Amino acid sequence: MIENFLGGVAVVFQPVNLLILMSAVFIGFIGGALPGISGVILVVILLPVTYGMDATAAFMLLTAIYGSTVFSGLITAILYRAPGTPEAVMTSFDGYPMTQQGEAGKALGIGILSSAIGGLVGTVALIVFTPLLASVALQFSSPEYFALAVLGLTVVASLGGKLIYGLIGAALGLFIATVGIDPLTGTPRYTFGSLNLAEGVGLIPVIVGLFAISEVMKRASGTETQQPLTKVKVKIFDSAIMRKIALTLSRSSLLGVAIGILPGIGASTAAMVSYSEAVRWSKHPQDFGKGAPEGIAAPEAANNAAAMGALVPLFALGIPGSGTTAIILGAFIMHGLQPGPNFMMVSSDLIYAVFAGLFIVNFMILVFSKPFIKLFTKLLNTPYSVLGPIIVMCCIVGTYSVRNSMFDVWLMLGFGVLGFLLEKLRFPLVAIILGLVLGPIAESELRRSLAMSQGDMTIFLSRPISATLIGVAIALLSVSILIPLYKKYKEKRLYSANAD
Amino acid sequence: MSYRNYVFPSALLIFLLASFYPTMQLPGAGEVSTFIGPRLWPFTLWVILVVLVITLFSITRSREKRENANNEERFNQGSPCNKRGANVSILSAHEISHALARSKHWVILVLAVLYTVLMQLVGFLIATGVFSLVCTMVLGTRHKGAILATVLIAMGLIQGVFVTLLNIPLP
Repeated sequence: MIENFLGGVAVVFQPVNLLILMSAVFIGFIGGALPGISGVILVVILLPVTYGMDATAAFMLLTAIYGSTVFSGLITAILYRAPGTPEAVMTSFDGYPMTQQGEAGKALGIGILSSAIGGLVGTVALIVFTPLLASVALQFSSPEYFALAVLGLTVVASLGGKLIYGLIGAALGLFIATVGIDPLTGTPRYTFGSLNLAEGVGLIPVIVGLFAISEVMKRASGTETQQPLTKVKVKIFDSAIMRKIALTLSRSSLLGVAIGILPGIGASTAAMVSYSEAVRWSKHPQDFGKGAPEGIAAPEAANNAAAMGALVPLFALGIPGSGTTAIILGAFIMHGLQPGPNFMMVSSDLIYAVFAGLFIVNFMILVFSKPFIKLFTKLLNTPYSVLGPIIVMCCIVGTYSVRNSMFDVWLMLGFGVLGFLLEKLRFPLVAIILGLVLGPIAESELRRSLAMSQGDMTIFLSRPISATLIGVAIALLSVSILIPLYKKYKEKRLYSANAD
Repeated sequence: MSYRNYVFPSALLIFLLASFYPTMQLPGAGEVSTFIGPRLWPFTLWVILVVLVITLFSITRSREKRENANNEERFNQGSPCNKRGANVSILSAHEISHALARSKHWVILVLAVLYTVLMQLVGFLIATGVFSLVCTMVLGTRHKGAILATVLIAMGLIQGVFVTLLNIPLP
């Protein structure tokens, strides 16, 4: 493992790759800091660009952007109480009060240090646990892979919004994935004689349309204005503060890793759980929400650790741990790579280069964040009327460039309108992508499993690993259904008790 | 009954009804050499979607009933809900003017469609220039320097990244 990692470090230190990583951190900083351009959208916009790149460079770029956007969401969360990313929501609870007290630089410093440490702990966990998990998963056969795909689909339970929408989205994605030539029999499905549809519905048009185009439309229809960013002096290494937050940092980083590795939980939940734990363990819980340094350290360490942890199931099992990792999984498939147990053996050079890249990225965050905040305050004030047209053009030209297909561009615009309308219902769009990405795996493994068992469905329950995975999936979904029902029942009882 | 709540489930239902015939036209296990035919998976998904849409209809219906009951209760109690009723016409006029201002997103979509068409007619570089100019203005930029900068950045980005760096042939 150490040899492989050192090999990865050697790859990362090639000048071109270092440049790619630096660009990724820079792009991620801007994307995460600008409200309206999330990590998902940045990864989506850059997907077509990476298509022409070498796979190692492409995934170093995408994962580094993913890592740095999770970090940079804290900037606007602390300065405006407008989190740049959902993961930074908890950071605003104590970060913004510190800004109001004139301690914005101190708050940003705590956030930067905590993010870097959380990210480093998460990356170490990624390097250690991915090969272990993958070696266990090597014993998997078709029923286990199908069960894994089912488990991956339960991520919909954590995407927010109504669960029924998540389930419909995942089923729609699975349904859309059936369009094209059936890989096992060569039968065309839902192609209506079109050669474009025979190739199937491309991931790029769907992802770019649903996320980027719909976001531009949403922003164009909005009336929100951005406050100008004021100058701040960031102080990262403050020994008194570091002593104060040391315990919170360690606890939150480990908690973040543990939560991030679980498929379907995500960095936002990690930040929330970690914040509440920080309050519980604190000797001064009354200070939280009023500008407590631990209130920034806990969510920031946890969300960055969880973001790295979410990559463990992606690389080891081929199932995404969060929304953005679902899109990165799509990017792997687009490059003809299939993450999963065999991936560690077949593409170990690529994987360890990505791991080493993420390791370096956390140091880059520490080094570059201070000058970034200082130098790019003007860039952060760029109005959306300037960014919007550039995003739309990148989407159109980028989508066209993947297959030189105008059909894909029309499809992308269609999905853009669909995404815009669905977002009005707070529909979790990632659910559609999950279904689209996991659909082909789920179908082919289901059919192979049933062929193995001569049509006996109990094959999924008679094998211990697949039975466990399906059990976990059912348990996760049941909890998502039962908890709101229980809450509703309690509210009803309270209401009727008050009425009496 | 508020029909707006039923638009999404109804649209899904229409989509499912339209896809039923093509789904049933797919060959089953008996018509192909493999143990499981290409129809099984899409048909299973179709059934799951129908169940989910029916569930969505029932959830929407029960939520609407609950909301109606709550509104009725508030109305009977003479709660602030009644007082809000007096402001409805003023609020609506305000909302209408907002709605008109908010139709920009459809203009952006039309511009994106025109950009796609124009790209095939006059080439990507001119189309990019025209699109970025119009789109920036539609989105509210009035400063000439900012508009010019956006046009130049957009053209440079497309030419530099896609054509020069990645060698992608654009129309």
